[in-house]
Amino acid sequence: MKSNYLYNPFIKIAGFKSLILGLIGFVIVTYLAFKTGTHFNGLLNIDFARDSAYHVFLTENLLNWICISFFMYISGLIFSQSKIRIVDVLGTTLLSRIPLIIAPAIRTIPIFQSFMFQSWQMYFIISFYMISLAWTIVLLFNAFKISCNLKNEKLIILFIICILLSDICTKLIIKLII
Amino acid sequence: MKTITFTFIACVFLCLNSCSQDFRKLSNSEVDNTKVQIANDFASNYLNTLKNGKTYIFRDEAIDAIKNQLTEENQKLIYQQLKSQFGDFQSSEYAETWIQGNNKSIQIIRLKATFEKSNKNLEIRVVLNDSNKIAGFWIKPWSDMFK
Repeated sequence: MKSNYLYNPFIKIAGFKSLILGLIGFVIVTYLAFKTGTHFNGLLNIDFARDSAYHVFLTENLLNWICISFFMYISGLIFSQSKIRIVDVLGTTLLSRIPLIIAPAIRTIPIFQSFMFQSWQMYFIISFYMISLAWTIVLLFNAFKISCNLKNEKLIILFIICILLSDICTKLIIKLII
Repeated sequence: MKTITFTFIACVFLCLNSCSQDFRKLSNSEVDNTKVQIANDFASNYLNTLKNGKTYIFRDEAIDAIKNQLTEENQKLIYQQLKSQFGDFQSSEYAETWIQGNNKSIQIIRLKATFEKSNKNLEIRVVLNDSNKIAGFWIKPWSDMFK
């Protein structure tokens, strides 16, 4: 039962509580991303470059969050018969991004700060990033399911569309403004 | 769950074994500051000359292949492309040095450069041979992954 909370904490945590916890996680992830040069330049992307100021990392993380929340909220408004609260969507999506802390946390170790392409360090970080990304996707799915109260095929199809659209939009906006 | 964990660990070890690391980064104590100075001076002189609309005149600081490649037309073309994308060159600072294996005669010096319109640093890569002549010169987006 306890392990359920790892991929679906929204049974217990939603609304303002999830937003506050998510914001704490967001601040830590963004700070670590800046310190280690870990760019989340797309909903599903990662890149390693200590090449920019703090506002670039903040913008990337904000866009990732705002885009997925926007598409989920719009989908909920159109396709759900329940009343959708924006605070639930914002809070649960923000909380879902906390597992992404793993890659920047690994990069605080000196041997992972600068390394060769196709080196063991690269594969090590990418492997753990894939796990954290899969975890984040599962959390986002449950966040969407609970905050928008959608079910069955509608839920799965809309979730895939939301992920794809927000990934494309985030990349486009980042390219335009950064 | 056990099978997934085992498969994942096996994949990670396969990847770790399949990659060989030819290059290594020099620690700060191993870095030759003279070489760093030569690389940084060349990069900033070269880019500042082009920024001022002039052509960089090579003397004996680079090997012939570099001199032949960076002709007057090529210098202008490359700088125009840089300027249109990132703006004018502003400054460069030393970041790190890499060598191949244990061969310190050829050193790859990576500098971080700032350009007027760009929010991101670019990499200026200068390769110095054993007689401290420029044997390679590239400008590209910075990455913490050395390629």
